[in-house]
Order: sequence, then C-alpha cells, then structure tokens
Amino acid sequence: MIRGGWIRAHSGMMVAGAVAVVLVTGLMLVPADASQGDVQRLMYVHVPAAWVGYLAFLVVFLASVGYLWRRTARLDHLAAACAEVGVLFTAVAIASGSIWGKATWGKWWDWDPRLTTTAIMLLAYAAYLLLRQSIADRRRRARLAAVFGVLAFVNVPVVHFSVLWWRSLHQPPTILRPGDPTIDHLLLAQLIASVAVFSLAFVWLVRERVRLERIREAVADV
Amino acid sequence: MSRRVSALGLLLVGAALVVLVGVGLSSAVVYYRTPSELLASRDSAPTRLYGLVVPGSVHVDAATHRLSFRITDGTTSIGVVSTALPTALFRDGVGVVLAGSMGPGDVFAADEVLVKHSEVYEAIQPGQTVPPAVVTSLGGGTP
Repeated sequence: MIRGGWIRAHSGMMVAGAVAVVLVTGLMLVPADASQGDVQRLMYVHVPAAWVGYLAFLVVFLASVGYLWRRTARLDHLAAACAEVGVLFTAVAIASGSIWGKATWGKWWDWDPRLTTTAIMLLAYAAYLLLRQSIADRRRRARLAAVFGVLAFVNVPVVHFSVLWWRSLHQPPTILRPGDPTIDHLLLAQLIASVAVFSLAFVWLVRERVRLERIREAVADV
Repeated sequence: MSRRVSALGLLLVGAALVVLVGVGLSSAVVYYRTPSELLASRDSAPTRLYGLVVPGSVHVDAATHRLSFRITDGTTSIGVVSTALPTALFRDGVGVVLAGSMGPGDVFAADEVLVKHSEVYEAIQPGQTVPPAVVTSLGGGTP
C-alpha cells in the first residue's frame, strides 16, 4: 500500500518524471506543425513556461493583497516563492521564444509590444526579489514587498493582451482567445498536457520553497 | 481598518494603471505601418512596414544579390527590394514585417525581412513535408 508519506517523499521525482514524459512526447513523438516543421515543438516549452509565469505572478498579487489585509507571514513566504519561480519560468519562456523567433521570424529579439512588455515583466519581478534582499527587517520587508507585488501585477494582463491591443511581430493567442483554439486536436492535447505538468512543477517548487523559507526563519530565530 | 483602506487604494491605483496603459499606449504604440498608411504619409524616414507577400511576386536577382517582391494590405500594394535573406517560412501570401525606408519610385528598401507566423497549427500528415523555402539564397555565391 502506498501511504501519503511515501508520495510526499518522492513527489519531486514524480514531478520530474512527468516533466520528462511531456518533453519526450512533445519534442519527439507528436507530429510536427505542417507549416513550421519541428521548430514549432518549442511551443510545448514556451507556452507552458509563459503560462506558469502568469500564474506565479497572479499568486504573488493575491498573496500580497492577502498579506496587506491579514499580515500573516505565510502569505509573504508564498508571494516570495512564487516570484522566484515566476522569474525562472518567464526567463525560460523568453529564451525558448527567442530561439523560436530566430528560426521563424529571422531574429532573436525585436522590440515589439509582446516582447517589450514581457521584458518589463521579468525586470519588475527581478526588482521585487532585489527589494526583498535589500531589507533585513522581516515585517518591513513583507509590507514593502506586498505593495510592490500588487503594483507589479499591473503589467501582467498587459503582456497577455499586448498582441490583441497593438500591432506586433508576435502572433495572437492560439488557445486563450475568443472562439475555438486554432490548433489540431493532437497538438492541442500535447499542449494541454505540457501546461498541466508545468503547473504541477510550479506547485511543487513553490511548496518546497515556502517550506524552506519557514525552516530558514525558524533556524534564524533559534 | 487603515490596512484595508491602503489595500483597496493599492488595488484602485493598479486598476487605474491598467486602464492608462491600455488606453494611453494603444494609440501611441505603432510597431509597424501598413502600405496604405505609408503611401498616404509620403514619409521616407526609417520605419517598419507590414503586409502579405503578393503571390507570384517574389524574385531574386542573382547579379545584384537582391530579393524583390510586393506586399499588400488588401487595398494597397508596395514593391519591396531587400538585401536581407528571410527565413524558410517566407512564402507567397505570408505576412512580413519589414524594416527600412521608402526609396525612389515608391519602392520600399528593406534591410530586414521578418516573417510573421500565424497562430494556426496543423499536424503534419504521414508522408507530408514542410513546404520548401522559396528563397534559399540571394544568388551569386558568398560575398
């Protein structure tokens, strides 16, 4: 019989295994796109990474609002953990998008609205992490970070809607759009699986990071 | 109580910022112009231009190492000459973002041809291959 304790102890391995499975199916097994060829497979890394970035920054926002309301340290830890994971995944989205852009557009980077607002988003949350580093007092740090965490989120919907509001090099959304997704069912299934597994990895990383922060503070209090 | 007020105030400031950025920038940010807009403005300053490649208009001059084609926005078309080689996705009917400026004779001189790909994805069928690149070199060997 498998007990909850065993699952917890091996959760990291299971998440890593799930990530490996969707990467193998996405990068090797599902058919390539008829127009772009194999390079389109970058989608199965690029889109879920960008999605986790949005998700992470949404939780930073919610936890920051919650902290300003309730002043519970756990919400501050949650916001900090999500900002770290969000910065990591946004960097992955930018790097994979850059490679995809070089192969399809013909350029690693261009200052179109989507790319520019994404760069601003990455820098904003890097600044959030720097702000946290620069304040020693826990409650002061938590309070200022929460204010920053609320304001920085302003840009996140702008990133998503930039391709609909403005003329851009980046194409508009395939799935999160009005009407049906413009993608084959098999490719869509792979994309949804990738998004689900990356989201799982996000939850796992954040849980571990919050736990680590709690332990760190407990040790510091001794 | 004051915490709630400050949290609500923050939310309001945030919401106002979203509206400002959305409304304010939507008219200010113009990443590219269309052939109709560019021809109407008679502007020869460096700019970005977007249009669909007119089918059958792509031509490579091996002697001058130049690529020429026409782009259209549906109502107006402009002739383009380019010294830059676009990616393999450059095909008849595809959307391109050009960087360059309007030259003599209303021909747009592009020093960059970026191929905009669509948000539509279709699985490749067994035995099917990706369409070959229309332009694989600008001819005449390596400079």
